Amino acid sequence: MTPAIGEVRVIDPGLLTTIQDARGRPGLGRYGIAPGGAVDPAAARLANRLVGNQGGEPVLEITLHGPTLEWTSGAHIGLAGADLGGVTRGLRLVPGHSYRLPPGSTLGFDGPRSGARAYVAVEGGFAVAPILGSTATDRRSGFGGHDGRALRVGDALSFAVSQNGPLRSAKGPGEGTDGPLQLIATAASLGWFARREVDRFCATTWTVAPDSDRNGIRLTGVHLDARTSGIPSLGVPVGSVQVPPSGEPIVTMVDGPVTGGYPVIGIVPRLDHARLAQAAPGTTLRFRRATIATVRRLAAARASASADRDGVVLDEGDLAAGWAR
Amino acid sequence: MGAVRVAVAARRVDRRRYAPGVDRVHGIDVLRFGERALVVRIDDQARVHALAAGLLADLAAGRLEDVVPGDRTLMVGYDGTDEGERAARQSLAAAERRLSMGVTSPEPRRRVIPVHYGGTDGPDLAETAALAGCSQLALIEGHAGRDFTVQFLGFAPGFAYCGDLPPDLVVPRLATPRTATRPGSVAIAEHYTGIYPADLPGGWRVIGWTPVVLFDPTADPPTYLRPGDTVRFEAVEVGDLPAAPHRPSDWSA
Repeated sequence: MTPAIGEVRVIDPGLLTTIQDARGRPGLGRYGIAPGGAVDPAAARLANRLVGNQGGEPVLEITLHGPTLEWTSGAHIGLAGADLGGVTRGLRLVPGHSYRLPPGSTLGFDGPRSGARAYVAVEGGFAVAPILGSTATDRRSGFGGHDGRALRVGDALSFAVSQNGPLRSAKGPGEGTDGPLQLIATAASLGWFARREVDRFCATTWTVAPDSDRNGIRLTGVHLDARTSGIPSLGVPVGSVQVPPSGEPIVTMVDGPVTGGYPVIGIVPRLDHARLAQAAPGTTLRFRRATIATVRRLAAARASASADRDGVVLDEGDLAAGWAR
Repeated sequence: MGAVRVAVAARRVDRRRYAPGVDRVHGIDVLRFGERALVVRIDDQARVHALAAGLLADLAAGRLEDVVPGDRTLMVGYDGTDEGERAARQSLAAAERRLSMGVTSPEPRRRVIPVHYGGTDGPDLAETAALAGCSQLALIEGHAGRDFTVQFLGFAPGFAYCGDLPPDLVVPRLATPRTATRPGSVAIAEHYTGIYPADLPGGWRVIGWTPVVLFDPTADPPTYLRPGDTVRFEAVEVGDLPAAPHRPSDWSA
């Protein structure tokens, strides 16, 4: 017996809906290839684990204003990341749960409640061929994911139908905190910024600008003064806070250019990247100086805390409830 | 005199607070760049390429997470742990030691890029020549038939920063960047020349076009030009160019 193929049709693509995965394409910087992948990979992994997938399968990355999707053959989906107002047949769908959608169900999103990027995984996994080790969409260069582009009206995605897995929930709230993000200042020997500019960066309440995207988060607040406007181009890791001549910083995100020629005032450690990923335009952000040793201590503590609990639990007693929860 | 001493003292404090990670590994400057990367500064770009080449085995083995040449810099990514940082520093030291022992790196690959200059293929040629204070022909002759080196890639997959342009061809970028550029556009900016691998926005001055494909995600490796390659542009008549983009036969060499 060949496995049945499920299908989801795009009725409305929303603002920006792409195929991504938690892995992306790290380690290819020498070719000019950015790491890409899900901006919030932990949420992408969680969405998959909610439907019993491994974690690295392709997911839909949904940005702010979500799509309308018709699941012609039904599906068991996992929802994680931002709460963008998911709804089906009048039922509110919230991140951190899996849901069974009957054939012909329409999944919509009626507007962002919190966060910027939601992830939808499907049991069985979307059928997307990996390119350069990943199923992620690179829109700038037009490859990966679904034809190297964002989803459009009329697109159809297929997946292997296996909807027998149990409904699951994520245990407890996510890692979100309200405190300032950490900033590892760049070495003074690089001579790019006076000490007072780093202090000023950390004393400022920044607002995420509307033109922020997967390439970079643009911050407005004050105008920073670098000692130089251009530097020899060098590799810029994700999280690098670059300061162009305008003085308004840009935090490099997963699709951002891998080499840059703007002075970098500091680097937001990976520990805080999920908060950057979920910072919708208009969000205010603050930063505080952190040492590498502190960042590593926190990262180790968080890793052992999440190892204690698997994070995903089976829901009991609701299998009889039928399709949706 | 007193003021100078104060300034020096202030800088010392500054350094202690900001740069605990600056040190020298086997004769090269290594800086910590966030919690998952080291940056090496090297004045000699050929040595950047040689050092990068010497680290690729450790990248393939997973000891390093990325090796990214820049302009007189090399960024090395690792897993963000103390052990990972130690391993990355050891990799750098070992690669540097091999270089200083005279282990020679392979001859650079030679790449020839046929270009049709000017016309609709090079919409900025006339203005660029005017800015450089030379004729269009002189600009073409200054660009073609000369060896450039791929200094590093960036901006987009397959986009190679080739340098250095002769000083008299160095002109500022476009005042208003294009929102789209035809793939294959051969362009110059500051002391670099490069080729747009895809339809991208950008402020480089487009002087010609080539049908050579620069980036193919299904090819191994995925880019035609790689750091350290020697590149020569060859002026051709439009009739001598294949009209369709194509992948050169020496791609995998």
